[in-house]
Amino acid sequence: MIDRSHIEVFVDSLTRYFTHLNQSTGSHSDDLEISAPYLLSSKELVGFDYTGIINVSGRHSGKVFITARSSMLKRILLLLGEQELNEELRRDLIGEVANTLAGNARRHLGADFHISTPKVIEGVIETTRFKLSPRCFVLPFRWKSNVAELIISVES
Amino acid sequence: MLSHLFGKYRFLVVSIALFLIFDLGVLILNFYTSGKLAQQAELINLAGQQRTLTQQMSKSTLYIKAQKLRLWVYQSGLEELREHYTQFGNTLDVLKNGGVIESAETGLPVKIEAVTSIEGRNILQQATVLWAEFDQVLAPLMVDVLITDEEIEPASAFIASNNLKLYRLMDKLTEHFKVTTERQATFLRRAQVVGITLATINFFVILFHFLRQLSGLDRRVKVKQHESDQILSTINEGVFLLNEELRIGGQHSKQLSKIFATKKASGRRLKSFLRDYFPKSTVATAMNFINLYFKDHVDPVLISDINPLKHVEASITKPSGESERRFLDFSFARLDQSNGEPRSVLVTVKDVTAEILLAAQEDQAQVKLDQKMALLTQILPVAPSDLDEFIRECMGGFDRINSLLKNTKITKDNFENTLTRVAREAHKLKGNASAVGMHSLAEEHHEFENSIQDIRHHSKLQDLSGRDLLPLAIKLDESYSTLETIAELRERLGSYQRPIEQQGRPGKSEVSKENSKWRTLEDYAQKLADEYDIPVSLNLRGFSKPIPEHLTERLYPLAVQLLRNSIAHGIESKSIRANLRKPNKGQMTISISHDLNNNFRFLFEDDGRGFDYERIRQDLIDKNIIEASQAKLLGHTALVQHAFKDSVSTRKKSDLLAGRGAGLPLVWQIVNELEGKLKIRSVKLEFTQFIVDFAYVNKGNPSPVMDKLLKVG
Repeated sequence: MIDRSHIEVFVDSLTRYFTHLNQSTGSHSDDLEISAPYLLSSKELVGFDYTGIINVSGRHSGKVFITARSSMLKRILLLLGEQELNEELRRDLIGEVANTLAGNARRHLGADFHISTPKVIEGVIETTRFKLSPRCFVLPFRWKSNVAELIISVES
Repeated sequence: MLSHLFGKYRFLVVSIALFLIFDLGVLILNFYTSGKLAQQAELINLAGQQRTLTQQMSKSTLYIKAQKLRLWVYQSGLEELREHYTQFGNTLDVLKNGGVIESAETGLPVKIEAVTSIEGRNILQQATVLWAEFDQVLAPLMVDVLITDEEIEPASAFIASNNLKLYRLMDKLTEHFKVTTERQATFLRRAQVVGITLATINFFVILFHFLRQLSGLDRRVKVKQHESDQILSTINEGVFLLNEELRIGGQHSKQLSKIFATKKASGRRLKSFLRDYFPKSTVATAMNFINLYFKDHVDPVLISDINPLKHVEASITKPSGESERRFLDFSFARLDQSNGEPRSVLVTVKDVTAEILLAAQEDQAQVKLDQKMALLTQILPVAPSDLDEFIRECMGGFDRINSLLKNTKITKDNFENTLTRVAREAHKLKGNASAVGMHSLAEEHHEFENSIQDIRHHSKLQDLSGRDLLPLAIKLDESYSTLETIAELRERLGSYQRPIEQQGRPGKSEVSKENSKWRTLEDYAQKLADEYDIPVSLNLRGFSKPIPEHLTERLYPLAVQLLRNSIAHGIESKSIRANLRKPNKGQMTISISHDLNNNFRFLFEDDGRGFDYERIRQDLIDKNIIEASQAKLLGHTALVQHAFKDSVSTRKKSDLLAGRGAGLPLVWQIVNELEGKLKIRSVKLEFTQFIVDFAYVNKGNPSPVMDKLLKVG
């Protein structure tokens, strides 16, 4: 069963990340728009171009995915001052975003919330591979017209 | 205590006393003998001096005689003779009788005791006799300064013949003294050897005794240490002593290191130690509590039940850096003090994580079991086919809600539109669940509706965001879980329930087996009637022939909503009905009919109070849907149209049955989905009739051509 407080921590973490990104790059602070959350069956296919995955263990266990289109990652890289927008940098970036979100969440969920180093995959997430909970929590969001999704499959 | 110590250390005290006695004896003997030896040395010197004086007196006598013969001056020789004479005589007297005389070595006065040895006395006796003869011949020379030949000649002759005798006697006396001295020195050496030997033996005895005792003590300490180590390494709890300074003792059990994943516990202040694992507030409370154990007037038994360190949660950081949550139980025992020993408290720490988690799991399992039991009691009265259909419909409803959430575009209007549609779906699910008797799900849907209401209220204050819809996804997940549990129970109980289902339920209406689901409405109406104390009677017509399943899926929720609406708003209470001279029971009828062209008519009617137009008008005003001035202009048709489109309700408070104004909009939605035509006839205090006409094409495809008309009769 998904715990509401955990979801809120991740949503806060997501908001904080993009707020910080906007502030540090001088972008408009209202660029992040969060859509209605929904549930994803573990058998459904999901995922955009790049997905960063964090394993969660300890008191809670599961996985946290952040999946985004290549265009969004390129946009962030440009804002961060990168000249190169190659695939390696995009992969690094999505992993870094996943790590930051989970790291922020860890600060709120306590030391007993352990996170792994991020893994990155490209394309559709084969959900059956990841032993996810029967229903994952999906939070679609849009940043500067680029859509992405935060997928949480964490159980107590 | 002294006697105790003396008793315990008797051997040691006696040994040390003997050692001191031996050493002291040797010292005293040494001191005494040294004095004797000094005196003997003085005697030897005096005897030696006497021996020399005999020679010098002889020399002086001869000198005087020779000088006198040459008629030279002899006074110096005479003075020398007189001096030697006097000195010899005095010395001989002192040696014989004792007395004070000038030291032969230093010239200082020394006290000489009389010689007592037999040999010495004999020699002195002989010397005295001989010296008396010397005295006789020398005495005349001591009188005057002028010496006559008669005085010097006999003296010179006597000295010449006897001087050697006197010399030998004095030499013999000297040797005697030397021998005596040597004997005393030998005695002293032997005494010293014996004394030192005894003291040394005694020392080794003490040393051996000590070593043996230390060895025994070490062995016992080692055994105790080993036993203590074994206990501390085997004991399954963290154990340590706490002193008055609230410091952890030097020894603690191995388990303590395991529990706290640290080897640095010994000697640390407890407060600082606990702060590594517990929040500050917990530590502060704990320290206040522990301090009570060091106060004599506090009875530990009385305070044990307020121990704040029972089942306390600790965050343990492992050497690998990983953090782990553990539940610990601390217990304290004040140790008895004796002989003024400092106070200390025995602290025991037990890792009860497994027990706590197990208990939590058991609680969770119990809660789940209770939930399952509650669900089971709700499932059992429901026919398996009805339950299967309910599960299928419910799952479909959840999927539709999830789909609505998933396909919401990011705008406030879209969010509101989603909320409206989700609310209707939830209301339909609530009605269905309630009708089937699945109260748990009905309550969950009611909560779901409450969440929507909260979100709507929130959206009036500020723009809606997807984040505001978080509770819906959470509650939807919970509803999915409940439904999965129902499905699981259904699967397990399926074979037991079929016989019951086959028996069928008695009822006044003629309902075919295929339409048994409609029969549940009779039970549902009765249940609501009992619950709200509004007696009703439901008549089902047109259900003797099978109704297509797909059609039932659409019409059943419609009937549920109208039935709930009728009991909530239409049918009067017993007393009112009695006043109105209506039948005691409210009469409700649900009928379905069709012609040869598959034109269907669904009818719901009751003999209740009819539409309360004024209440609808007031609710529209209260909810700011329409301004009061415009509301006053609305006719009955317009008011009913609002009742089917807006969330208006004539009930003051919402509950599980009604009050949100969601029922009629849902009816309208279903009619739209059927592409049907809704007619309403309502006469105040007499009846209300809902008629839905629609064309139904088998395979679940409704007729595409139907005007959606709303007529109020």
